[in-house]
Amino acid sequence: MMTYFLLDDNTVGQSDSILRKINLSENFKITPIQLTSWESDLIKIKEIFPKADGIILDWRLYEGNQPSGITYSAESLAQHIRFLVNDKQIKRDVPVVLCSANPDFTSSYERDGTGHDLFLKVYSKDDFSGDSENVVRELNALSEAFQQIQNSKLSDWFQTPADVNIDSRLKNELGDLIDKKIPHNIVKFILCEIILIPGILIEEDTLAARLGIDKSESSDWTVLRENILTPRFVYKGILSKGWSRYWADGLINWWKTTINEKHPQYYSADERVEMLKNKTKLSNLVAAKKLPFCLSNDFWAICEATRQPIDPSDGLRIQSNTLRAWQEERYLSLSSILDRKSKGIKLNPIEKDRLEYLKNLAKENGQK
Amino acid sequence: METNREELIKQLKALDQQLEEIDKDTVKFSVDAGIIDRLGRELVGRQETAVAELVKNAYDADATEVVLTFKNTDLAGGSLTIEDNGHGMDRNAIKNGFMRLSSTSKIHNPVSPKFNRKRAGRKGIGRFATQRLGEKLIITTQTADSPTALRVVINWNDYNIDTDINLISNEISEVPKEKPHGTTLNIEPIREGWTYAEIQRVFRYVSDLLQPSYLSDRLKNSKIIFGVQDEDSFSVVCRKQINAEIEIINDIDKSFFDKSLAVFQGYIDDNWDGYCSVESKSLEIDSLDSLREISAGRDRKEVEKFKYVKNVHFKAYYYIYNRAEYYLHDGIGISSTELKKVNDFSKTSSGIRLYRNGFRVAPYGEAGDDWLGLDEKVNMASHSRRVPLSNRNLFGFVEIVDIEGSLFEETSSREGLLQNAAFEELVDFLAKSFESCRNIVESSIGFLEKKAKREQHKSEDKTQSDFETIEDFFNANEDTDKQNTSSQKEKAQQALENIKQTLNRELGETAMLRVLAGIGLSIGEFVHEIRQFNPIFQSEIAVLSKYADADTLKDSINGLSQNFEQFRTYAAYFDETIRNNLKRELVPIDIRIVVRDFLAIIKRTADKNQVNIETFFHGYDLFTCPMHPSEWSSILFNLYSNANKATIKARVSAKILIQVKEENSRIVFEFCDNGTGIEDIHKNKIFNAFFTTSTPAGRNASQNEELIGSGLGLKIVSDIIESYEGEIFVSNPPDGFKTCIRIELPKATDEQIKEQINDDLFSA
Repeated sequence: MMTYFLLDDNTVGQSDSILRKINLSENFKITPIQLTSWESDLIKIKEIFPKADGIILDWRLYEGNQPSGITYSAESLAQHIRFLVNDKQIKRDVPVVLCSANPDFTSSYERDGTGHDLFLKVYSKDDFSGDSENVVRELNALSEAFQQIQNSKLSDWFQTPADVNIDSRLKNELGDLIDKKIPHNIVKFILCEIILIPGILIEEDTLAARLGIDKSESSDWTVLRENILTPRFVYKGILSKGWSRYWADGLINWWKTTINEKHPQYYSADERVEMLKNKTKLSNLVAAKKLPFCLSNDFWAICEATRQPIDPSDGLRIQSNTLRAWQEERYLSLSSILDRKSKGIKLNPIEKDRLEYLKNLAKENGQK
Repeated sequence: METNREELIKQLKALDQQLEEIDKDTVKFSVDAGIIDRLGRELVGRQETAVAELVKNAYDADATEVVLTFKNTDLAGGSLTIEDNGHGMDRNAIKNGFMRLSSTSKIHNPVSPKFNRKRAGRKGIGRFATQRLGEKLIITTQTADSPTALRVVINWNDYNIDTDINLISNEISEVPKEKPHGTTLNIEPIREGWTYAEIQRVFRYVSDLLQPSYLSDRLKNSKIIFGVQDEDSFSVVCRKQINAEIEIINDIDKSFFDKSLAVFQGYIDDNWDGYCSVESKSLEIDSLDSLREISAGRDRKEVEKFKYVKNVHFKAYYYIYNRAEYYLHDGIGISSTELKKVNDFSKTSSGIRLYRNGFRVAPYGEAGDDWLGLDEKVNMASHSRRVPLSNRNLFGFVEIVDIEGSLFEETSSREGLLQNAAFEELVDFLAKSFESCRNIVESSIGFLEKKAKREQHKSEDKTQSDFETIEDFFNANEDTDKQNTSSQKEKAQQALENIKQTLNRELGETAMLRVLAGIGLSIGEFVHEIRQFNPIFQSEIAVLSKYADADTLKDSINGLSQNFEQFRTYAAYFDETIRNNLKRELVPIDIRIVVRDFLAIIKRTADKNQVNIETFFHGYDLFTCPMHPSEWSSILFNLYSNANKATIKARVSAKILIQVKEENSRIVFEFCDNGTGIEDIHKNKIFNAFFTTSTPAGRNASQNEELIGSGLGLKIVSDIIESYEGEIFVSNPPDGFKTCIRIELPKATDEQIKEQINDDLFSA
C-alpha cells in the first residue's frame, strides 16, 4: 500500500472529505495530517517520514489569514525537509509535491520558478477530488523512482533499448548528480529534463505527428500503437508508470527497418501514412492535416496548445530555459495564438518579430 | 554662308566698339547667357510650376486641349511633350515673342485673340521653365494661315556663362505641318526622373489651374473671360509612356462632392463686410439661417469691416470621416466605403486652394500646405475631435478677383503671393470663417444628438419646462401689474407635482442601483468563500457515484454531479469576475475571450433549453479600448437574459447569433435573437431606466424577483458602453432573426493591443 501524507492546516475531517475519492484507489492512500505550529509539526514530520512513500504539502499554508493561525509557508517547510535529508536526520528521501486549491496556481507557479526546486511537481486540489487516476499513477511512479534511485544502478534505470544511444552529455550530467547522492535532485532532473521535455523521449501525440497520423480520425491508431509501436519502443524505464513515453530514436530505427530506409522526415504526412498502410496492412490510418496558416505538412512536433501535428518551421518556439543538448524545442501554432487558445503558454521572446510578421501575413491573405 | 556670318559678326563687333568710342560717356547693359539659368533652374523651384507655366501659355494661345506626355521619364533622359491646339506662332511671333526676354506682347495684348481669355501669365518669362525641365527644347509650331510649320531647336547647354546672349544662335527651320494650328514643345533629355506620384501631382496641379466653377457674378459676368476649367473650355490630358505603351493618368472623381456633409461658403462683399454660412441637409442647416458676420478685428463684440480685401469668395466641401451616420437625410447618405474613399483622396487632394483671377496660385492648398493654419490649430488647441477642422476635412477654393492686380502680387517664382497686408487680411478672414462654420456644424450635431436623446428623456425636457412654469409664477408675483390668475397658480402647482414625481423616480433608480451594488459585493465575498467547498463536494459525489447500486440512486447522483459541475463553473466565473473587480485597472478586452468564457458558463443551461448559439469572429486582435473586465459579464448576461425571455415569449426554437468585427477603428458587436422582436416605438426607449415589458413582480415577490426584469439591465449596459464613448442601439437583424442589439466600442490602439498580447504571450 503506497501511502502519501498530505500536510496542511485543514482539519482532518475536511481533508478526509476531499480525499475520499482518491482513497478509493487500489493500493494507494493519502493520509491527511493537520499542521498546527512549527515546532510540533517538525516533530510530526520526522515521525511520518519513515512511514511515507511521499509527502504532499498544501500551498494554502502560505496564504496567511488562515483561521488555523499557521505562520509559516509550505516553502519553508519544504526547505527544512531538504535540510533534514541532507543532514541525514531523515534517512530515506521521498517525493515532496505541492498542491493548491487555487485554480490559477499551478500555471502561475510553474511560470514563477522560485521555490521550483523544492517540489517535484505541483497539483491542484481539483486533481485529487476529480479525475484522479492520473495523479495516482504519477505519485506511484515518483515514489518508485525514489526507490529505484536508492536501490539500483544507473544502467538499470532507463531500460534503454539496444539500438538507442544516450547522448554522452546527458550521461555526464546525470553522473554528476548521482555522485552528489541526492535522490530528490536526481528524480527532479529526470522528470523535468528528460521526461517532460521532448528529445530522447516523446509523448504519444508527438509520436503520431512524426508518423503523420491524425489520431482522432484513425480508428486503427490504437491497434498500430498497441500491437506494433509499443512493443518495439515504448519507454519502460524510471517514471514510465506515471508518464507514458516512447523512445524517439526507437521510432526512427523501427521506421528505417520496417517501413522505409529513409528517415520519415523526408516524407510528407500523406506519404508517410501511405507507406504505413502498405507495410502494416492497417487501412484505417488517416493522414493529419495542416493547421490553419501552416505551410508544410512535414510534421515533426506538436502545437502545445492544440496538441495537433505541426512542422517546426511553421511553429513559434515557446518560452523555456536554455535547452540541453538532448532536448528539443516546443512550439505553438499561429492559429492557436490568433484564436486565443494558447492556454497561457508563453512564447520565446525571440519570436516577437516573427509573430508580428506572421500575423500581418495572415491578415493580408484575407484569412479572417 | 558661314564666312559671311562670321564676317558680319566681326563687323558688328567692330561697329559696337566704334560706338563705344563715340559714346564714351554712356554705358549699356549687356546680358550674360547665364541669365537663362537664373530665370530657369534657379527661379522656378518646382517641376510642377514649370509645367504649369507651359500649360498657361497654351491657355493664352486659345488652346482648348493640352496633352502632356511623359515618355520614358522614370529615369533622367526621357522626354516631356506638351501639345496644344492653340493658334500657334509664326516667325514674327517667335522672334519678338518667344525669343525676346521680358517680351511685352502679353502686356500689349492682355486678352487672347479668339476667346478673349485673360492672359494667364504676365511676367513673360515662363518659357525658361523648360530649361528647368530638360536640356533641349524643340518647338514645332504652326498657325492656321501658314503653309508650313516652324521648328526651333534650343539647346540650353549652349547658354553658358561668360557668353553674350546675343551671340548664341538657335536653329530654326521650316517643316511640314503636323496639324492645322497649334504648338508642340518637346523637352528632352529630361534632367531628372519623374516618379509616378510626381506625374500625378503635376497633373492634379495643372488640371486645377483654373477655377472649377464661378463663385461670384463679378467674375462670371466680366467682359474678359476668366476661364473655368471644364471639358468644353479647356482640358488637360496627361499620359505616361514607356516605350510604346501609353497610360492615361486619371483625375479624381469629383462627383463625391455632392455627398459632402456640409458646404461652407463665405465672402467679403463690395462694402468690406465679411460673411460665412453653412449648408447641410443631413444636419438641417440652412445657409440663409446660418449666415454669420465675420469681423476683421479682434474685438468679439463689435463687427469691424475689412480694410484691404474685398470681393473674395470661398466655397468648401466639408467631411467628417468615420461617421457615415451624420450624412443620412431622407434615406440618402454616404456609405462607409465611399467615405473611406474620400478619406483616401484627402491625403493628396484636400485643402483650400487659391484662385486669383481664375488662375490657381501655388502652393496654397496642396498636400502638406497649411496656409490657413488649420492643421496647426488642431494640433495645439483642445478642439472637439467630434467636429475636426483640418485641411484633410476640406475640399475647397478661394476666388479672388483682382483684375487690376492692385491687391495681390505673385512672386517672381510663381510660388505664392507676396505676403502683404491684403494677403494677411485674407488669411485672417478665411481662418475665422472656417472656424465659424465649424462651430455651426458642431452645435448642429450636438443639437441633433440631444434631440435623439431627448426622445428617450422626454421627462428631462418636461422637468425643464416645469421649472420654467414655476419660475414664471414666482416672477409674476413680483410684478404688481400682472395678477396671478387661479389657472396660473394651478399650472405652477401641477409643475411642482411633476417635478416631485421625477425626483422620486430618480431617487428610486439610485436606490435600486445602490441595492444592486450592495448585492454585488456580497455575492463577491460569498463566491470567494464557497470555493473551498468545491473539492469536498466533488470528492464525496464521486464516491457516492462509485458505490451507488440501484438505478434510481445512480441517476440521482449523476444529476447531482452534473449540476454541481455547472455550479462550479458559475462560481469560478464569478469568482474571477469579482477578483477582476478588485483590480481597478482598465485593460483592453479581447472579445474573443470574453465571449468564449461566457458561452462556457451558459452552455449547460443553453443546451438544456435547446438554445442554439452561433458565434462569428471576423478578423483577429478584436480588442476594445481599455475597460473593466467584469463589465463584459454584465453586458453579456444582460443581453442573453433578454434574448432568453424574448424567445420563450415567442415560443420559438431559440437561436442566438453573436457577430464581432472591426469597422473604422471600432469594434462592432452584434447580438441577435429570434424572439419577439422590439417594436419601432420602443427601439430608443429600451435603454431607459425602468423601461421593461416584463410583467411587474407580484406583491409577495422577493427583492431579487423585483430586480430581475426591473428594467435597469439595459440601462446599466448602455451606461457602461457610453462611458467609453461607444454606442448601443437596436439595429437591423439578419435574416432569420428578429432582434439585433449592436454595440460599437472604440478599438484599442495598436500599442495597447501589442502590450496586451505581449503580456499574454511573453513573460515579463
